Amino acid sequence: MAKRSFFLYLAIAVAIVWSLFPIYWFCRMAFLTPDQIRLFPQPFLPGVFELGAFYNIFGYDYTYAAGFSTGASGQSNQIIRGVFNGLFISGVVTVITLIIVLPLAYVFARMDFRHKEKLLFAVLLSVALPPVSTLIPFYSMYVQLGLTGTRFGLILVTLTITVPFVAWMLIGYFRNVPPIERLARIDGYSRMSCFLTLILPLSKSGIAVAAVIAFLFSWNEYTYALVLVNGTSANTLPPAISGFLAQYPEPGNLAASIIVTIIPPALFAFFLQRHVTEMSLVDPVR
Amino acid sequence: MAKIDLVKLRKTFGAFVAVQGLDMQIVDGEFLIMLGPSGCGKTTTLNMIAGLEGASSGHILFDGVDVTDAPPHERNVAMVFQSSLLYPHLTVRRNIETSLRHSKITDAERKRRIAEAARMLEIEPFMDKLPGHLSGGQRQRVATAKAIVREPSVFLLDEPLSALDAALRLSLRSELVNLQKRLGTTTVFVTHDQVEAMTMGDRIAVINGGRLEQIGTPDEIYNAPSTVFVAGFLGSPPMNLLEGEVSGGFFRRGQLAVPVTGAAGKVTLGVRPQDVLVVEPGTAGAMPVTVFAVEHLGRESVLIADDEHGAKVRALVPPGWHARVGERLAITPEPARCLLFGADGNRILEPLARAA
Amino acid sequence: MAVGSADQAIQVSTPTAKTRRREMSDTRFAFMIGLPVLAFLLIVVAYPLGYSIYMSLHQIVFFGGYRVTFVGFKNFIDVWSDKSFINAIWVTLRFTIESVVLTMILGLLLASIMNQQIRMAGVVRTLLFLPWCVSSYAAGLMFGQMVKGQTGIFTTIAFAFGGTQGVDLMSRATVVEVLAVANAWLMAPLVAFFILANMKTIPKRLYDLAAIDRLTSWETFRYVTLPPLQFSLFVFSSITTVLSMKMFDMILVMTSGGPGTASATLTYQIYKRSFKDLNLGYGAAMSFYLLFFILGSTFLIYLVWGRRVSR
Repeated sequence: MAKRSFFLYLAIAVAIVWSLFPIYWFCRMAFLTPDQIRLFPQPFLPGVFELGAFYNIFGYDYTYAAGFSTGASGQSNQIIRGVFNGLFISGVVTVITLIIVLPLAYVFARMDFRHKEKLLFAVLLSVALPPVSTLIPFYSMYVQLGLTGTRFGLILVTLTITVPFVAWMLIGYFRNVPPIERLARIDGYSRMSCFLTLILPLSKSGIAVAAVIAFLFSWNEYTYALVLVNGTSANTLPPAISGFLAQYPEPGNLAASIIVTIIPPALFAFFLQRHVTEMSLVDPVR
Repeated sequence: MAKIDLVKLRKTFGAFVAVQGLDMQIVDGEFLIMLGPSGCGKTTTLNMIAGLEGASSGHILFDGVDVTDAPPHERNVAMVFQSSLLYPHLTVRRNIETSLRHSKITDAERKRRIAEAARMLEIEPFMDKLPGHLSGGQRQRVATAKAIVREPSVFLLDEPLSALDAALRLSLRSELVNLQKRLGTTTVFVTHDQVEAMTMGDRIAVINGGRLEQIGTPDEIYNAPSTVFVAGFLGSPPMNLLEGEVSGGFFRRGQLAVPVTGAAGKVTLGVRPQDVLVVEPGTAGAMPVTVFAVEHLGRESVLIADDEHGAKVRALVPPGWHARVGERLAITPEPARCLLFGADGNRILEPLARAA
Repeated sequence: MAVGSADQAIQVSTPTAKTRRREMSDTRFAFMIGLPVLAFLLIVVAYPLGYSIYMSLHQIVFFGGYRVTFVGFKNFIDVWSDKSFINAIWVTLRFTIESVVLTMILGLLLASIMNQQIRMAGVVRTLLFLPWCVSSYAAGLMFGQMVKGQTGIFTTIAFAFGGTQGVDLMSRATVVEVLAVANAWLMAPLVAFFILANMKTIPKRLYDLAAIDRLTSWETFRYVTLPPLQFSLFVFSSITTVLSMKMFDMILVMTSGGPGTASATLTYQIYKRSFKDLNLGYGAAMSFYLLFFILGSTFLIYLVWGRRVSR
């Protein structure tokens, strides 16, 4: 038994290192002085435990305890704007995605109707469309409609990613909900009120997971944002960060902003992990 | 309280005919069992009575009023589903309350009814628990309480006991019958378990392949089955069904000869194991068999044997009776207790020569 | 004639005797809810598809005045004599297969670990889930920085053991593998969590049975754990195949298709043709081949595997 638990904890340790090391190695740079970053080979451990890089990306100069100082990043406006736009856009996308997808997935999972297979195929087809192929059509449409550089435009296009994916996921989830519709009809619930007052409260886990997935997709979306809103007032965090790459390379600031992008989803993940074990795709009843 | 008439009720799913032209009358206040193998259309019929599924054609009448197109809650029915389906996220109390959503009654009356139902089914201790925290038997009681609290005119049960273990099923069986007799509510109970059907029902409707095979009291169904299907489906151990021919006033199958009346031709002879005698091998007119197994039931034993054609035949024997596996014996049915079924599966009425 | 028309008049004036079910039918409810989404899907699927078809059949020139010339299937035929396109197919294939195999193995391993009875299970789950919170462009940055000779961990390790030269895995030979590992690192937690959810539904008694039959850990995994996971594994093989073939921003950020064209996948080639060379028609034609490959490979997975496991 002791031998087994030793290997188990070894395996857990390896899995955690595997999952965290790439993040650590990059984010470590936020805690290196500019001199340390230029070292070859790179030091294994962080050098300073001060938040200088974070002050810089949010537009403040910072003087380290050792005496030297680093200036505010030129990208700071974009970063700050990116955080607020990102939260706003991702929040709206999450809400709209749920409003659209919850009834849709429910209908596909629980009801039989004509053309169901074809419609389902359309949903899956839109999952398969690569963004590089849809970029130009969307861009040209957006230019004509004046939607480039607007938050509304980015929300719209992000929905095209979140809706199919979340729909696919929730269809699997709703299939596993016990068949309480029949009970509800005997009790005199209309289909709509059964869905709203019984199915939805019952599906909290699935909705939580769906919300997090929609938020993550939106928060981390890069390709569309880069083409449609980069450099405008509607810019989000990912393209704003990529500015660090193109212009003056400041790895410390880059690492600090990557940490900023990871924090909101990581918080979500912490709350999500309890629910996600209920997301089995396999149908236990039928 | 209601009398239910099913008139030429028919249900198709695409090309598949689930229920074909069912005509049936359910008497006010009776406990009717719909019995049949799985996929025979009994649950579909129940769903149509409940209004959960629309009929493809035909009519459903409650006390003479056509409700074929009425939604479920307007029919004032209550239903208990397979494995006692409840809302998993609502407490027992809230589950029961949802049954009264559409009832126009005062709060006091509502409280009284819920308390009454809880008392009758002895579920007071867990009124504030979630269904997931209850055992199968407790869930079944809650589902029943949820159903009776509405004081429905019809009580529909879809294999409510099938997910429970044997001992629990036995005790809940009598509880349900007792409850139904006290309330006097018309009840339709769907099951594939013939023992459940025999013990619970005032009448049994045997359904097969979407058709009504026979409807009648358990006694009629057991002693006077009108088709070979009904004969074979009810009874434990099952009735012996032997295919053979009638010629010259005898039913013949190999060496077996049973005196009967009736026209010559291919028939099936049915005889219950308790009406089969075990005799010495070589007895004239008896059927030679080889012992396959002897099952001891305590009060009696069942001899299972192979006949010349390899078919299994069963006979009841006294509890102390013994035989070795492989031993050769012969059996003969008691002619007065035999039933004959024609090639179409229907019973040939009064075919038997009274044994002299 | 007169009688006939009178009959008809009666029929028209009397409404159908049978009152319709007052409850809404499944189909009507489905369409009431589905219609807005249908419209949305029309925009999502049909509009870009239609626009791309239009582009792929034309030659679009920006320089010296915007001109559009109809060229029929010329773009679709031309790509086959384009070395970079053929190369891109191979790179995409290699990247996708490696990604999917790695992701599924990692997902199973992570799920098996999380399925054990351990202390602090919530914390472990959160930590193992973290890679999925990282966007694909950030993962590209991270892995790029981690394997480059200048900044990489392998250089640091090599020097710690007395080496004197940097270790650069971002080479022509290994760059696709690095990308596949990064991609698998990114996707494995999602797969692991769904598989974990599925593992939780396997009855404990089966494991008792396996213990009685004295199965080894491997046999238990192979004959008890794996079979009920078939459907999930199939679904996620398809999903990760689609996601891998679509993967673009990680590659753009990490390698920009390089060194040379060693990591230029189809998505990257489409991007390059469309946005850098501004050859929109040509890029659109390529993207139809990509779409075709994506649908084709998922259909293939379904044919050889999915049909057996989906009910």
